[in-house]
Amino acid sequence: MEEALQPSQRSLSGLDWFTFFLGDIQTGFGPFISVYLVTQKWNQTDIGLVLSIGALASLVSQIPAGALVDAIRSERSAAAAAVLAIGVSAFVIAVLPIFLAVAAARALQSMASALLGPAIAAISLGLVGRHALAARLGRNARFASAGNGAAAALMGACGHFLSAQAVFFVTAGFAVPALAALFRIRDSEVNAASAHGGVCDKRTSGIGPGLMLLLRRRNLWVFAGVIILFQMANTPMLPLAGSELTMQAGGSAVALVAICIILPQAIVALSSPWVGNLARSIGRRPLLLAALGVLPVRGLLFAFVTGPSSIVAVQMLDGVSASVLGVLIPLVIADIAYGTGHFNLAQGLIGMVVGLAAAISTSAAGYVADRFGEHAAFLSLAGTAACGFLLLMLLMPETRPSDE
Amino acid sequence: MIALKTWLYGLLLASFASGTVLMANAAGGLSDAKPAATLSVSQHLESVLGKRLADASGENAGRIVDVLVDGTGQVRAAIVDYGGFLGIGSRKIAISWSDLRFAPDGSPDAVAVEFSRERLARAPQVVAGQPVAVVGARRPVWHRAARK
Repeated sequence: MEEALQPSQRSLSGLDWFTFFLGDIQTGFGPFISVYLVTQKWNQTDIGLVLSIGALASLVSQIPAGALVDAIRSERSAAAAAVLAIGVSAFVIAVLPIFLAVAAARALQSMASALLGPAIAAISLGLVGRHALAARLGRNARFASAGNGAAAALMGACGHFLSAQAVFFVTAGFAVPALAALFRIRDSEVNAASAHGGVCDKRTSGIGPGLMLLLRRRNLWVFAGVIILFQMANTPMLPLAGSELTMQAGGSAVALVAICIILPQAIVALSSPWVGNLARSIGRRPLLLAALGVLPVRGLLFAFVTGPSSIVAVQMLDGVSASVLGVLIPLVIADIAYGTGHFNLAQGLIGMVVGLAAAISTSAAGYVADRFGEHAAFLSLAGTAACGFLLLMLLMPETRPSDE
Repeated sequence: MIALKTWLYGLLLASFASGTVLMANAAGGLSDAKPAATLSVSQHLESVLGKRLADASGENAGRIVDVLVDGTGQVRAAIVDYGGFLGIGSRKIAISWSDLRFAPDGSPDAVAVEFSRERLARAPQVVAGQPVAVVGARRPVWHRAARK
């Protein structure tokens, strides 16, 4: 078995704060980028094109990014390069809002983000080893959500009181504390073999053979299917609910949408370490069933409740699913891919299908909402979520290793 | 192999050709630089894209993101991205052009509209490829929004 890894406190707290500051360097690149580009007199066609370029760059770079993290010796350097690239992208978008520059910056940011997801999980696995991974991922999710919540509040205030452009300067500036936290992690304490999910057999190194090896594991297919259905149902819910709030809540709508974004993050920050421990004690399956079970209920409630306060209350259920999946997605991938040496390639693979599912369902749900109303859109999302729950219940086994 | 090479040479030639055309255009542009007789450099002209809209109570009601014209080129409505936080939960609505008041109280960057927040919030969303319901037109005006 693997030797006991003993990471220093310095490295562990470095990882805590690194995950925290990532929220600050990523929030501005979300839907907010279109708000900013409008203030720079961009037309809707160009804005749509830049967003599509970013989404496409993100999709195509997931698998290569995962393979890269598996192949390199220093996950920390990869993460540092990615943070630097995101900081530069934010700065370019702030100072040079012309099409070519923004499109290139957005593509660069997407590729760097694709690298960061696997890199953080790899650093975690390399630092603490497989048996402490569940608890560590719980802690990561706590700091990431606290960071996301704080970033949304900060960037929202920044956009409101200063300017949309200021948001991107602030984003670029936050690359500095993110890098400072990252370099507190001692590279020597990140066990490369553990970070890659075992030592890779020479015959199965590289993207092609690695993918073949992973795709022979049936659980990966089932898990990917479950997560695809979850994302297809989950991603469009917040924008649709936000649009309902804007329509129903009048003056307080902006504050209520902000609460819908920030409060579930607080729930995740409070409960993820607990989820990490539960994943060890009761196993992965019951937690996944809870996360997938809550989602159809949320869809149904959104379809039938009216009134701003009920919408906000229902959105809090998002915190339940998010706290479970924030921990369980990397954890179950580690369960499935451990021993192949392709842990990060597997993360890239799941990242790609998840991104694809989210992109397709956002436009599909938008279409259904425009054509048949929000009610129908929420019902179809609830139906999709129920399919995910059924798939999980019928085909997904417990993946917790027998010695954990 | 030969086909590929031919294709590559073709591409190279085409890019040279287009480069030459571009340079020729640029040169032509320079020689025509005299002010044309029809050009009027008049008052303060500027883009309406990105301008903030204030509702009847003076509150921020979003930004103008597009302008709609009818079949004759007459400007009929502005599309406003209304509400939302960090770009989430905003709705695109169309507001009648004739109801917009530019530079109210002498502030050049502002645009105001005499509609209540409730009326704006409940306006139907503008959907690409579908008829647009314009808020504030005396008679409902139906346009077809441009496809993205």
